[in-house]
Amino acid sequence: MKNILKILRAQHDLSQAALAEQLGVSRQTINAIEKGKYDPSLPLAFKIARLFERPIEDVFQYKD
Amino acid sequence: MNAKETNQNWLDSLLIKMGGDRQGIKEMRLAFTYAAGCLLWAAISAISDVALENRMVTERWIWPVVILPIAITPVFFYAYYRFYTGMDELARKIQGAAMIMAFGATIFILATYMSLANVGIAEPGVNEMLSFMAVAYSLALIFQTIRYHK
Repeated sequence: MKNILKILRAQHDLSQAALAEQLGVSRQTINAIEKGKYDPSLPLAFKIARLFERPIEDVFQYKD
Repeated sequence: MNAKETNQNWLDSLLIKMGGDRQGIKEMRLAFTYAAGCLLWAAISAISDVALENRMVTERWIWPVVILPIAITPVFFYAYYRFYTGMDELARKIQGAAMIMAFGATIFILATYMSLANVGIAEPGVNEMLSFMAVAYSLALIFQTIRYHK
């Protein structure tokens, strides 16, 4: 999956640690998601989308 | 403030100084508890072994000394359960993958040894297999952590 988490985070002027704090995950998890090494679970993906007030499909795109 | 809270605050402040985030600190605290559980279990197992092998206990105390390491095993598992459930999803995935890799490698080695035992090479003992599994688990954990965090 591709995602625009890094862009959204920059737009909201949030550090990885601050975002991790708000989502209740570790900074490493945010880093791994941003780099595309880890696809988050559905609950976490929804939490991210809700936090940035964007539809989930805007934040995460499935690539064939 | 009770003793437990004081302890946690002391550990938290140390971990924050080391640059940890809240989830990381929580995981670190649970990992320390788990490590302490492992050490306690290992120490009691070793003491039990030494005491029995050297006949340091009277006949009356043989069974309690034999049972003690088994009796403390639930503490070890509970500490690991708390550690596992307290992790965030990526850390849990890393742990799960490492466990599967270690289990697979151990089964492979065990099957190999069992086949070799048919041609006269001694079968490995339970201790050797557990040691191998622990080493394989540690290596798999390092490999998985590097894979996701680099």
